Amino acid sequence: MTGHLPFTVIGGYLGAGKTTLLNQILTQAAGRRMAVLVNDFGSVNIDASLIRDHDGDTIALTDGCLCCSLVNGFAAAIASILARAGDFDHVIIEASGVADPAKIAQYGQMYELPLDGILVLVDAEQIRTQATDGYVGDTVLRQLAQADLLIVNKTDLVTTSDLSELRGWVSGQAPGTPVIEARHSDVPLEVLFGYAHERVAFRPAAAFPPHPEAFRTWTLEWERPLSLEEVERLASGFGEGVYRVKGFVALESDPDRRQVYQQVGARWTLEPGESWGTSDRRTKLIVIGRAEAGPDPVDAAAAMTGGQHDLA
Amino acid sequence: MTDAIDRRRFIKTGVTTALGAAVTSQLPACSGTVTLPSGTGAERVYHGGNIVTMDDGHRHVEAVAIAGGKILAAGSLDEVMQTRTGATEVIDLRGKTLMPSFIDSHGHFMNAPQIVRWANVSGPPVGPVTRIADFVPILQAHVKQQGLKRGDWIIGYGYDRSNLAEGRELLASELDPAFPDNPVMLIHSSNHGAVLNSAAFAKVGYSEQTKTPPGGVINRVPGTQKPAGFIMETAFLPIFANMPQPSETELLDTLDAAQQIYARAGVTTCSEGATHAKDLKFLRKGADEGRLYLDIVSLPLILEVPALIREYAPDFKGGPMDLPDEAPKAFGSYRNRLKLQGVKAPTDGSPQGKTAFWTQPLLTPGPGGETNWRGQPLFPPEVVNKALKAVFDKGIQVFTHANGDAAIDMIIDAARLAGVRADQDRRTVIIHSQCMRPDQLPKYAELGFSPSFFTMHTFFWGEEHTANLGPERAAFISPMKSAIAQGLVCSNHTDFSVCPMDPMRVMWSAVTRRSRAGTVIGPDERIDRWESLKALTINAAWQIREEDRKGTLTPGKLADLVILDSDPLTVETDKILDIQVVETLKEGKSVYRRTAA
Repeated sequence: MTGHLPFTVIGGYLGAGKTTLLNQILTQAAGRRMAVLVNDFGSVNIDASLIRDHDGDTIALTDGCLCCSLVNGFAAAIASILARAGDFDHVIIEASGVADPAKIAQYGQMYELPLDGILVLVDAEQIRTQATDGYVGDTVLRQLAQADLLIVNKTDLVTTSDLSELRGWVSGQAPGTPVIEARHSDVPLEVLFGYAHERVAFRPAAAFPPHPEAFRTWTLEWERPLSLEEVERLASGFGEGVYRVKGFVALESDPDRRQVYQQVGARWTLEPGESWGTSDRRTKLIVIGRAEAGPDPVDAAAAMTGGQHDLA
Repeated sequence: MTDAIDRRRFIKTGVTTALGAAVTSQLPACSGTVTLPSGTGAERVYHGGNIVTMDDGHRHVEAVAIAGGKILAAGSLDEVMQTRTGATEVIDLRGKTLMPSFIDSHGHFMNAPQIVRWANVSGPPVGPVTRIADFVPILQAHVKQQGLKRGDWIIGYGYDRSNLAEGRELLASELDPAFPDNPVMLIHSSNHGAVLNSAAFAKVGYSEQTKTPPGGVINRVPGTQKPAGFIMETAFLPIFANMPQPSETELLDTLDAAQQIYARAGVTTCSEGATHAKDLKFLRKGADEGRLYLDIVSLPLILEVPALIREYAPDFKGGPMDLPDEAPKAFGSYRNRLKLQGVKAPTDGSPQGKTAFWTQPLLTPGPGGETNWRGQPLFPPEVVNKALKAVFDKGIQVFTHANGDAAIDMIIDAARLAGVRADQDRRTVIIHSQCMRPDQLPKYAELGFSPSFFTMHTFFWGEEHTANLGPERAAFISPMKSAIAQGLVCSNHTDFSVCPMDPMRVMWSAVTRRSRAGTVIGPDERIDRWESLKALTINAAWQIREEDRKGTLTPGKLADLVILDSDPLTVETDKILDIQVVETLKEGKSVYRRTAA
């Protein structure tokens, strides 16, 4: 009914950097036509030169992105996006500072949109105080637990030792969830999103330059088709050092079509894609992980299924 | 005929009252001295009944005179009759009760234009449905009354299996024979589900092939995949959100029927207590076209205030937290019967939906099965503090929605941070104040807060609150007796259309606090009848700063009146629910009159 317009929920308490992240996404979308649902236009700060049209509840940008206010409710906003679903590659929903992002994700799934991931931003400086707040402490902790990927933001505002202590605390609150550390919400789009649409060019690893100090990219390839069971094993083999995996899988049981593989944190999906056509019928995945994690998580996952990897 | 009021017109043949000079009549304390300008007198005098002034100083009078849409005199028959002229109509109430008409202190008027286009398929006391066989005739009558044509949607509200003697869901196949060509949707009382007939399933594209979405329910015909009728949650909500919306003209044409929901309940001031910008635009249009004959008090939602401000300050670009100096000009006066009174700041959800915000966890799981669930605020406290300070600083009246004690704490904090004190007479209204703690009442007094309670919860959700909150916390929901003892001015509302527009049921619930199962929820918080009526009249007027023009039968105030068939102050307690409105008057003009049964 709605096609396959993937959606991402961006959550996190007030001040964690959600709006900064959205502004970055909107100004750097690089060909991805993003429909962004925000709580309040007041905080979205889009470069005026990018604004093509401002009409009531929506701001259209020159590169095909659209910003839509949630002021009339989720149903109205999503309906206006879905009415022209073909114009977009991806939907992003900004959860309010006190919302449970998992609940927002459920709303999206009501409209049969595939969930690309729940990203939760964390204010490195304030999170411990927020977590003990009498009003919102439990809400803040639920937000952490609901994330597929945690972005500990504003790390420039804390000391090295505080940050190290914070890492331990965060992993205690959300065991197994990968954590990215960032300043000014600066996280590459390749990490934030899976494939928006097959229309978007598959970006070769070599062309992925971001933040060499923080991220590392691998490509994983298999000569032979994989069984579903092998894919399942692979998916659960990546540890918390891996943020995102995406690519095409050649599946034994469905030889004519490629399967689109998406993974963020522990959440992964495998969906039938288009026919292989003339392209090489082999599984090829891009893995993005933490630089310090080294090649081990990918090695381990690849070894289970006889894959090969190149460190990009 | 039996209910019609005797309208004998006293035609004078001679000059019996000298009106050439000013007539001065001494009236009792509550009415004071009336000085009639030369050549004027009463248009109408009511007497011969039980006339309740709602004035603490003088609860009853023998007669009331009205003129020019206002109350001219109230007092003894002799005194009031001095205002009579040759043209005065004198009406014998024949024992019926005349009192100030009711003021809806909180509800959602904008639900009315929708509801009047829908069939009421609720169970008692809200609607007439008790068994499966009731649906078809009710819907057929609705089709006739609304003039629906082949292919039009037939929508009903208030459907609930628990009302049905059969104890099962209604089936599409039971609606299909009567409505083969009209899609039917009967919305569940929770608004989270509905029963559809086959034409409706075809219209929304549901068939044997439709998979049940995650988190949804599609009942199937046994042994098949064919949708049986009832759908819920994720299978329903997107469908409902995509229903065709009525045009503005269609909605404007419902305004008469919408106002009649209030007028036939004796209400002449309606509340639109959470107004979106687009709804306000609609109401303005209705008002400016002269379609309103009742007063509507609108509270724009805080997030939408900037859009409204732009009408007064077109260059305004800011958000709710940086209101311009012009902002207050938008509030406080009627234009064609529509008034913005203050800003609505919601802070939490509903207790029955478990989306309110409490300090202590519920005894039952949260709405998503959560353990130790205490709900959530709608906005972070930092945002509430800043937004409310901006509104307080501009001197705009604040109306907040707060059901749980933690949400109430947040508002108390925000008001203290903004320097709010009782002596500033701000009349901050805390709508619902449902799950208060006793220690919050003195804080209300200190900050000049005024609660608008919702005691009908004791009837409609008494059992749920006892299960969720435990008996002690449940006993203190809408704690009206304690609030009055604290010196707070309290109103009491229906939250229409959450509960029916039925002031007598509001009164009864405040007096009895009896649940559906017959349990008294918080016997210590029951109040007397006089106080329960003040919460529907003068106290509700005070909350919207209209105590000088509404709420008591005081000379000079508007002749907003209701005539009831029996006396709510003396009738047997459970008979309060049976009291009927005979006539409702807005500024002296009849806006509803019961037809003879």
